[in-house]
Amino acid sequence: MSRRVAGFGTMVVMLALAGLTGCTPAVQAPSSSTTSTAVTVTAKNVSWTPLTKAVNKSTAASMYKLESDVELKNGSMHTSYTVYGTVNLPDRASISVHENNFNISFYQQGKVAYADETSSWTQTDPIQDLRSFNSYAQLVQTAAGKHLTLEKLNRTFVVDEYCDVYRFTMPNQSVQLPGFLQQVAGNNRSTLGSNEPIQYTFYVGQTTGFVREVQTDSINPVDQLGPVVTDTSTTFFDIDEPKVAAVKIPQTLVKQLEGSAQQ
Amino acid sequence: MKNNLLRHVLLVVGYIVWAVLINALGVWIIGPLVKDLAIYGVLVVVVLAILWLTSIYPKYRRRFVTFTLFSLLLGQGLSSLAFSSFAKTLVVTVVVSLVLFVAALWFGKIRFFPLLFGTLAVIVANAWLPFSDWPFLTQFRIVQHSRLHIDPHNLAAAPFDVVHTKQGDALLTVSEYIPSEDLLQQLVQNATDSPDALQNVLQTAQGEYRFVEIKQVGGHIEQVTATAQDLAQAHPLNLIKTFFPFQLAHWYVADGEMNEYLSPYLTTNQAVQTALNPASYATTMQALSNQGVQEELENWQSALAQLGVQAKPSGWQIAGGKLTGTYHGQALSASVSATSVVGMGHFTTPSANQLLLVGNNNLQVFDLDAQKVVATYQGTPTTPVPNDVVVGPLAHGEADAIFVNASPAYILTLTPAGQWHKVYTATSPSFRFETVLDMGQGATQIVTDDPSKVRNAATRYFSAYRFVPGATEKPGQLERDWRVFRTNVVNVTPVSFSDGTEDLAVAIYGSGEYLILHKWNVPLLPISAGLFGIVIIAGWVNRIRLYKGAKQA
Repeated sequence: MSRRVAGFGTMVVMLALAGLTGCTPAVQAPSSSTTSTAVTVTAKNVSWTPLTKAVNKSTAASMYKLESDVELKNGSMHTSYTVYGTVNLPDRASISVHENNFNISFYQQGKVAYADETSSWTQTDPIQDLRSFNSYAQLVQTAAGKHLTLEKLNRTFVVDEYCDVYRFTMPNQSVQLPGFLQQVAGNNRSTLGSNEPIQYTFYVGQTTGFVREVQTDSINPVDQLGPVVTDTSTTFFDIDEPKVAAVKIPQTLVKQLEGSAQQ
Repeated sequence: MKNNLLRHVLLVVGYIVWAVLINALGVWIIGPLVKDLAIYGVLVVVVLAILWLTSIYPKYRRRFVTFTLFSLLLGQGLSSLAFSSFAKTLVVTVVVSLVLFVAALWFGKIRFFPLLFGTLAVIVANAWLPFSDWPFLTQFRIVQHSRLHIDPHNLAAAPFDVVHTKQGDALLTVSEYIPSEDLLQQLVQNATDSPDALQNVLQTAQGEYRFVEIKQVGGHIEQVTATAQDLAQAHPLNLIKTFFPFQLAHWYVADGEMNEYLSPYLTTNQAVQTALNPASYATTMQALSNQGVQEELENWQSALAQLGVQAKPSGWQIAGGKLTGTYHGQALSASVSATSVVGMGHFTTPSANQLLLVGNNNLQVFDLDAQKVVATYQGTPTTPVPNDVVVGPLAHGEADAIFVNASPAYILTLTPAGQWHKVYTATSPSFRFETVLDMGQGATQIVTDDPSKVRNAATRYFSAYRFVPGATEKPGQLERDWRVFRTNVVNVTPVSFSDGTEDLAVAIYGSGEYLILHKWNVPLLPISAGLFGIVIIAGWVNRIRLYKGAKQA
């Protein structure tokens, strides 16, 4: 009898201790299904033609989805900016932006644009230029024109196809800034901070020939704050696939507008 | 009769001690075994449980085991209430205690009074310091344990900025408050300077921040409203980093006190424009950061002006390529190609007075006597040098080493001639250096947050190591000094509230909780382990005696 009690007691105690001391599952690294990273350099100095061709082909794409992740680190500070969106050129888009701890949803069709920050949609100005690939094309053109060294890295799988991977380094002010910053910066480039190198890695689909992913790695000094380690990655998918990449109006917007006359 | 009373008193004392001891053992030994040693730890716990269970005389087993589980459940339940509102604490404490109490009475057949005192002991011990924070006690005396009101959406943990006052250091931080109706009216009236000013004021009206400081007041440490003089010395960027650059802090003065609210930096349209320009993300972020810092600092200075003081941040600063500060009572100003000062120390020799600067992917040692950079450590694009660094000696009286929190973290030392040596590289990518405690002699204690070596989990515990140098030109090793099984310990900040005292302020991630710790060497852990051992041995001795007695009869 006492032996049975001891056995029972042991089990109860063990279970209780396991529960009390937090037998929790181990933290899993977030699975990144869409982004991949090439690491091995396979050729030191390759021709710019395939990359130029790929960015040019991508600028002609009229519908696609994109997913971006920007990570900033300064000291123990760690903030992020993420984007998920569908773009149908020339003037339709549905974009959601997650800035640190708040969310923005944006919807545009032609001259109509709505944004949602606090779970209600409000009218806003449409964005004139929804194209994302053009500034990549400009960047690659400039780099190729300067005959910068282009490295080729190991073949890497991105989303749904194998990609050729190309890498080069350019000063960070070689790119065109979004409109609102161009106005501020204007003649005063110093407000942007110093012109540091950025390492760009382009992933070009072997089957589709489109640019599928672009990563950048850089360290950008900020006056009085110090260097901000900035890593970005942007993935493009469902390129020119009307079935899945067509912009749809958010249901919450439809609901809100349907009821608006009665209010 | 008298003997009987004594027995009763001893029994009650036994229940009280056991109720607290088993909770302490839970967080000091049982939990750590499982958390750090995974399955091996679980096996050890099973062995301990069997040893303990078999040591109990069968007749008392049910009662003893029930009381133990009762104490643990009560301790855990109450500990999770830390810093809840008074009403919630009261209600939950009463309900949880009652339910468990009745269950223990009924199932364990424990006598009323011993159980009552056991329950009270757990409640009192937990009210003094929640059991979840008891791990600190094995290494630290708790100087203060309190919380700031912080919305984890804005600030992940209490931010700290140390300023030096005549009485000693003050620890500046922020705490949420809700403005009064009158004050809000006043703010609304004045929100006129930009189209979204009104929205900015109102959208955060339910959660604005006010500056508080933790400092010594009349012999003990208190949390008080920050004075204008102390705010003038502050480094505002230290207090707002966690949401930079996507939210900007705005400061204003009302009723003679400085308050803060946060607002999104980008308008919706700008955020979407940014989103659609992936080619320029990095450049855009840099531009936003630079503009944001300028805006915030101007705003900070004008708020200070309203308080009637001028910004005079303590220590060294770099602005626009100019390093400024005071050395030997003399103002010093020098041109540097760096963006921030991350530390002060004696890097080349123990007598040198030097600053550690962070530049364009490099660390620079600036000698204050020579007034120039004497050594530079350059990072590469793939292994950038972050400015998350800790400065301190590897042994008492030696020159300072630089502990770089890259991934993986590493330790750099500098020879008198200015040559760099990487003397240690962490084996885990999530290993983090927090601070260095100089023990007055021998090796220093390098305080870290680092994960288990056995488990594949990123959970980090607050620990300390001593550095053991390797053979010439070979990297050294870190040997563990102690480990406190508390996770989420962040913003570890050495602070000296009065002359000659050295405390550590730590914040708990995801809450406004903070603790001021003072290192002590009371062997609480060995004592409680010893007590546990005595209980088991006494149990066995008792059982054998009773067994023999029964045989003789």
